[in-house]
Amino acid sequence: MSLTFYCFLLSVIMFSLGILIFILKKNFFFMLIGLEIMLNACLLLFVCAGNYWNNEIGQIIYIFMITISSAEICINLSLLFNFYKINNTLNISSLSELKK
Amino acid sequence: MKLIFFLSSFVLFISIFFIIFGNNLLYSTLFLIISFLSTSVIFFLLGSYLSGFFQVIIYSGAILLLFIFVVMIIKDKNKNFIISISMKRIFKIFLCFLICGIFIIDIIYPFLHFFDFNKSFKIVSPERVGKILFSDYFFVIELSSILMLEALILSFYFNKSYKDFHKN
Repeated sequence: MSLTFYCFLLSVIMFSLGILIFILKKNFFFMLIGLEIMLNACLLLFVCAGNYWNNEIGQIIYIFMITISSAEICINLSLLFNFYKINNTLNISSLSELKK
Repeated sequence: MKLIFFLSSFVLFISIFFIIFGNNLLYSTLFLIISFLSTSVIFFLLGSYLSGFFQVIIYSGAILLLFIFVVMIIKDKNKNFIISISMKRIFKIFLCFLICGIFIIDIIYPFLHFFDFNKSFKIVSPERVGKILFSDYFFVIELSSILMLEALILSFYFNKSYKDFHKN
């Protein structure tokens, strides 16, 4: 087995751990962290596949995905900040009480 | 080479487990930075140097700094997100592992037919990536810069205070 197989396995396990964080934690911030870990696993898979076939497309997709993820984090953190200003908590269960 | 790969992946798993079982926002963000740095080590090992540099500079250096700033602003002292051991929670974990197991089998099984895992990977230099990026994909780069500008405007709009909102 070469490093490519281990990289694929690593990315899949990382994605699973991201899902686990997203399901288990009731905190808005931790859910964002889980999303980041899932996205990082996808990026690792893209780069690994690109290097396997000896082409540059994997790294180009990595660059575009990193721009999309940075935009997404920017918006998500501003939403989180507003959520905290209204509720004084980051518990996602109080999201149903957002409309006051 | 394999030893460094396994060491970095071990550090990655340990840091993610600390995130799962931790309850401090700042420490979890720092462990997330450690996990991204170990991912960048794996990128360097694979031979994609540009991705490794981007992972260190943009992801760990810029994006996660935003996380740390938000944690410093919020100062959340509510510890209501600690994992409690209950039957419902154990059922959730079991369901999650079941879904992840099916997911792993679904992803790995086709790879066993499509990929020759005895074949080693090739080094893709940043020069090759840059040549293609600024010739064939130039329009997409412009679009992604417009996307970043949109994100900036949206975050300004969301963080507008209610007084300013009602004035206009």
